[in-house]
Amino acid sequence: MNYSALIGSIHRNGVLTVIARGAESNGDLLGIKLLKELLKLKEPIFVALYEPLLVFRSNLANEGIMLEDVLGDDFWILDVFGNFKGIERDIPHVYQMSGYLDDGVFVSKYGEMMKGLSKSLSSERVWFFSYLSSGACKLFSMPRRTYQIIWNLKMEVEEYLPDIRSVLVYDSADCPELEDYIYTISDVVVEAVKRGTRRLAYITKGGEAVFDPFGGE
Amino acid sequence: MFKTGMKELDKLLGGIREHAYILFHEEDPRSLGRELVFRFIRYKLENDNLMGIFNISYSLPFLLEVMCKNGIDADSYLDSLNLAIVDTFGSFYGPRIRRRGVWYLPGSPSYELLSRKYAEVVRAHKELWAEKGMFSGRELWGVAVDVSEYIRIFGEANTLSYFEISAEVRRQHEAYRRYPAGTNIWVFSGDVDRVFSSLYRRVDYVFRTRSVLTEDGVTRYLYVLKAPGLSDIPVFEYRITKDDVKVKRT
Repeated sequence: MNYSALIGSIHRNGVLTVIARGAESNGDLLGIKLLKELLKLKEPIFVALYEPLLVFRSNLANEGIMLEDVLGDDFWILDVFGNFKGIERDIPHVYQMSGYLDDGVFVSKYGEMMKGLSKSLSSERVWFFSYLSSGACKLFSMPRRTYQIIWNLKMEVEEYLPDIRSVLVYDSADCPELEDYIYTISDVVVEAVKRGTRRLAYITKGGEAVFDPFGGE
Repeated sequence: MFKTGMKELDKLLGGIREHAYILFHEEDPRSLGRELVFRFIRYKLENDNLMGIFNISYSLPFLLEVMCKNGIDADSYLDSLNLAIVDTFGSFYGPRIRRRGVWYLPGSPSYELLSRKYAEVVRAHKELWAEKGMFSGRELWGVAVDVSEYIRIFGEANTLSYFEISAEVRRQHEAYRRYPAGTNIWVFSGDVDRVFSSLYRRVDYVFRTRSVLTEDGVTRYLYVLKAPGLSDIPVFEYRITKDDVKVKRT
């Protein structure tokens, strides 16, 4: 199973999720591989970052991608982690939310930002990438409710962005309470697991396959 | 007796008794048990039946998107009134989307008042069904997705209390006495607890879905834990394809 085939399996408004079964599965790195593949498409990418920016940056660097090189009008990051932790940065194309944040305030600011962004994008198709969706459980006080309400935003920007394709990366060990939502909304699910000393990836929804997650591109 | 649409299962059970209560336990999300429920909803709507969905765990746009992914044209069924959605999630957390066929519970719902408020909106939609003469010749189903969300909202003790009270309300309220009563599915997900046990004892049928991940991939099982006249536990293996659910007795 190559990465471009996985990306190709995402249809209009479709969702592909990589579920890492614990950090040791390296499932998050499979997610980074898919992001690398997305970059080749030269289409707008929006990253919702629930983990520290520095962690994201170093994992990208290990794949040969320099974050500063890819940030631009077609590559945006919402630094959810940094915003909740009050980490101020001044990096172009990395969104900051100023002031007090809780779940509800976050959702409304997120909505305003998405509306602004959606009107400014020239492309009808945009890729949404999350690293990691499971971070919601570390940042939100009501992760299930907030996760659902964030989905409402999609409806609000539909007019401008009729085709949002998502690649979500999620660690089930960090946030088991969102797994049923993740499975339900995803068209394709790839589970990354560690079995003894091997790492395997399984397509468990939207197809059937077992493959070596890092076995060549 | 009503069909589930899964041939092997219908053959074994002879169908589902009208007015029965069914507990549908999705043990793990990978089992895609909920998908079976949505496919069931699709099957019943495609055959022109009446369906009420009690949406407890999803925001409405999320639910509609999931229905669409499962091949259900929710808009047309809401327009025709065959489908009613009671949006409990939206009643708690908003937004309240004004739309034909979508109902909200008035005021701020609490577990003490929830079953009466449900009964009121159920009566309101049943009035429409009655006015249009839609009851005749159609099955009436109620599906709650999913009832384990109540435990997260109200806590275990209050949820138990809610279910105990709601059974009394359903017995007495005119929504269920004046108009035909439905056949009901309660979807429960995750680990079993006292709420599960209480529901288990209350209902007529219990199904459970479970997945196993082996070297070769994922296998999904459906267990019939409880059904009238059944003592052993029949097990089925199933596969969900784009337009079909393939079920085979193991």
